[in-house]
Amino acid sequence: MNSKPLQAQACPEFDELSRGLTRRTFVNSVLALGGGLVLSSIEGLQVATAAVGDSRADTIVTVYMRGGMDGLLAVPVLGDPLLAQLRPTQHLADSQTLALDNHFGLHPSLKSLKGLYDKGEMVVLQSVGTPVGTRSHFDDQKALEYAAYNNPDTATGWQNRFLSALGTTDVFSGYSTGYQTPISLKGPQGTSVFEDMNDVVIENFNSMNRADYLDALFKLHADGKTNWQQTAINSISASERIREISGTIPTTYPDTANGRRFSTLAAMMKNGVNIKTANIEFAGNFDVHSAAGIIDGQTAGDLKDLSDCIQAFKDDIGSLWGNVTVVTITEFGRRLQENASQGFDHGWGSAMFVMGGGVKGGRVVTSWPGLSDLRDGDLKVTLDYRHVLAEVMKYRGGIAADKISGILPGFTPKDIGIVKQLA
Amino acid sequence: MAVSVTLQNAVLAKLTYGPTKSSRAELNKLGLDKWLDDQLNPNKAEDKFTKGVLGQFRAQNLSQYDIEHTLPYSVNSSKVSDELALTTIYRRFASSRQVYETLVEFLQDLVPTPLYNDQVKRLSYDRDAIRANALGNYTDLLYATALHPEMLTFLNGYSNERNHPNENYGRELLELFTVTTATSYTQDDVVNAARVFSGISFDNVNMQNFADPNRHWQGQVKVLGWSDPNPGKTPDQIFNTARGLVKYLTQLPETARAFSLRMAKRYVSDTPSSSIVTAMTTTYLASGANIPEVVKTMAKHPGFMASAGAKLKRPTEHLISTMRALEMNINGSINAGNTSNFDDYWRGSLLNTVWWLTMKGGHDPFNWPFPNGFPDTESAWTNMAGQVVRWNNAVNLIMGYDGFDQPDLRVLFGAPANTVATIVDAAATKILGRKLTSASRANVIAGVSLIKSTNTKALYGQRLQAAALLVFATEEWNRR
Repeated sequence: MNSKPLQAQACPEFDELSRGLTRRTFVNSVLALGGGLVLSSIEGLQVATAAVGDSRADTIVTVYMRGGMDGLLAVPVLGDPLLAQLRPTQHLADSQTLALDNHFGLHPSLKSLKGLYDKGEMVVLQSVGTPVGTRSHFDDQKALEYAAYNNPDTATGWQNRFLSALGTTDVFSGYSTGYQTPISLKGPQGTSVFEDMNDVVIENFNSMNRADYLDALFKLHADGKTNWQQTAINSISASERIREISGTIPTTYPDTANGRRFSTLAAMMKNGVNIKTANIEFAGNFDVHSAAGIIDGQTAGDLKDLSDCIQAFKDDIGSLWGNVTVVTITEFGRRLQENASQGFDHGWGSAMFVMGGGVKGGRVVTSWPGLSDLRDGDLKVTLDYRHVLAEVMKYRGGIAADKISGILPGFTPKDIGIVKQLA
Repeated sequence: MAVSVTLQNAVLAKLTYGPTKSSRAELNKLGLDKWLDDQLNPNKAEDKFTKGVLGQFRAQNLSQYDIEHTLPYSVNSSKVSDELALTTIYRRFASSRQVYETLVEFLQDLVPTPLYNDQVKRLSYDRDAIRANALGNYTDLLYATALHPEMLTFLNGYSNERNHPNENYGRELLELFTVTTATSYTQDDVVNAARVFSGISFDNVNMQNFADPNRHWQGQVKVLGWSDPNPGKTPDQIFNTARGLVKYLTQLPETARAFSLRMAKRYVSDTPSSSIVTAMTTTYLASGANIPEVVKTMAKHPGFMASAGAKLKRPTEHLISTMRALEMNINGSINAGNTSNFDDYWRGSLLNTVWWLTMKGGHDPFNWPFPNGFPDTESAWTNMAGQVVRWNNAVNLIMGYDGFDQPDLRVLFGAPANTVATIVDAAATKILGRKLTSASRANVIAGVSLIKSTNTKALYGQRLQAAALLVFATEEWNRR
């Protein structure tokens, strides 16, 4: 491929851009990293990023395990012969698991997560999930991301409402990997979505000097009357900030799409980008209708990838780990009984992992319903995933308790004691 | 018979991958009705592309059996999928049957499988199940996709058997391909749909379907209001029951509505009026789920014209429409180097470069892992990734980077006089078929006016390039 070399990582035009913009009185812009200040004269534009919310607050990272992760493959119940009976080819002997306590084990691929658990930096939630459970990927995922179960007309996602509650103005406050804006980030707060930093650096256009070109792009969208135009204005300044960040991926990450995604997030955080909530779209295949691969196949590989990515991410961001809370979420678990294809059809209850420096870890939190008391063949949900989100936002995200109802409307959260209060 | 420029602009923006000189001429000559009939006529519908760049690809004209057995694909079967992605891009760009191509894309998103799911089967799925039925009725198309080895692999039909049936296909048949969750169906309906298809699989050598009574769930099945005794003792009985279910589902008013709504969301807007959806639904039912008839009803409905600009182009559509507006030539040989070198024969081609540009937008053909197709809403694609890649791609095309021939903008824009406003108007007229709206015209003019040069000739060239680039970046060009 005869691709052009990537844009230089240094940013010689940076000052030129700022001068250019100031000179033209279009934007009084200080394009700095971190608590950067972006002022704009444009009506309706995101303005002025001062520190928002509680300055001690964490970066809350969600990892969307799309496809329906089986909580019983990841966190098997111990000492229950039903599991082996119902899953003749897709179960682990208790001795094969990494025992968490007397009741649950971790899949052996999750070795690094076991390390976090042992250090008290991971809490495991079992039989957790969405309140309804339709067995539809798309309906359950949508509902999970809107997280407004009593209001079908909601047009904003919960992570965007979280940003609204914080009053963020910086588009990097909310970030997602991928190419499409996830529903959870949909809404009025500016956010940034991209997969690869190199792809969102605005290339030089040799018919204009760079500052003029960027200024022309600004002018083109200056009316700021539509979502497209407002987003474009934000994209231009955000892109210039990305140019300053090295995209080199430390070799400690797995050489996978997920490794690149976690490392991209880490690179931004290490460069002082003040991300309040980020979303990693986990690239895997949890939708294991056939050949679930618990020993050395699909599931074993995906879980290992998750575990290795989290460890590499933690190592990479160093002390920032103390102000990060990572939450894995999936739209549903899978049927308890294995199907004829050595796989599992769609189910309901699953498991979540909450990890980070502020976690009250080393525990499995569950109101375990057992494998006999099922809902139409599915593990029951005994804990609504919104309790987890609410507590993380309240105690780690810097959200006042009375603001939670605006983020999770119609929901009354209860503390489940999984994270520490910000110190 | 002449078709107004306004109508041309709206129709060609929405129903093709962007207007060109020849598509305008053809539409103008034939009038909308005749043009649509032509575009959706099964006897005329597909350019054969036996010569030129597409003629050089090898798998597309081979049977599934031959793909597997006469080409060395077994060594690296991803090449079949690569070929499908490349030929798909080329067809969207170059086919004179543009409405057909947009319709095929709609259907590719409606019953999708990922590009590299089962690489050696993917091309045949697209060609033999989707393209071959796109101008027929939805019943035939859906049944063809249901039985194709590619779908049987993707949604696990091959391993669906009577004990613990695999529900994957049965669920998506109801949820995504027919009635959708706008209709209430139950877990029993899902299980029964799965039972109907249990035992149906394919022979991995000759790629023919078979139905195995020993693996088929036998006995009465009920799905929504349909039931069948389903004796399932012979392959014919099994296939007949499966066909019966697909026919029942695809003829339901609920499916008619879901299909029409999805199509209207693709072509018209993210929130189409109920009036246009109802008209399409009526046609769907009256025509026996005839796909082209639904397209025609949509295109001739007053709500269609009224929705000009309501829909955001997705990244690849923006790229291809930009290439068409620039009259790019990507017809270079794909046989770079040794033509007997099967593995790399399209490396270094411009078509391959275009494919790479679509990847940067996260919208390269078929690269979507789920059975619901690429998102097709404005909110999904209005973000930093989506916007920067459009600007960068336009720069590449205009400047002739990455091996593209640099377009002669002076000629394309009709040799406008060297003033900014004149150049901007000429660029917009060529690209959009009209001047920009006053607000964006002023913004583009302000942008182009930033260029300062004492060299008149250089200034002219730079202005042409900047005008083109900024028009391609306008929200107007990003919409259709």
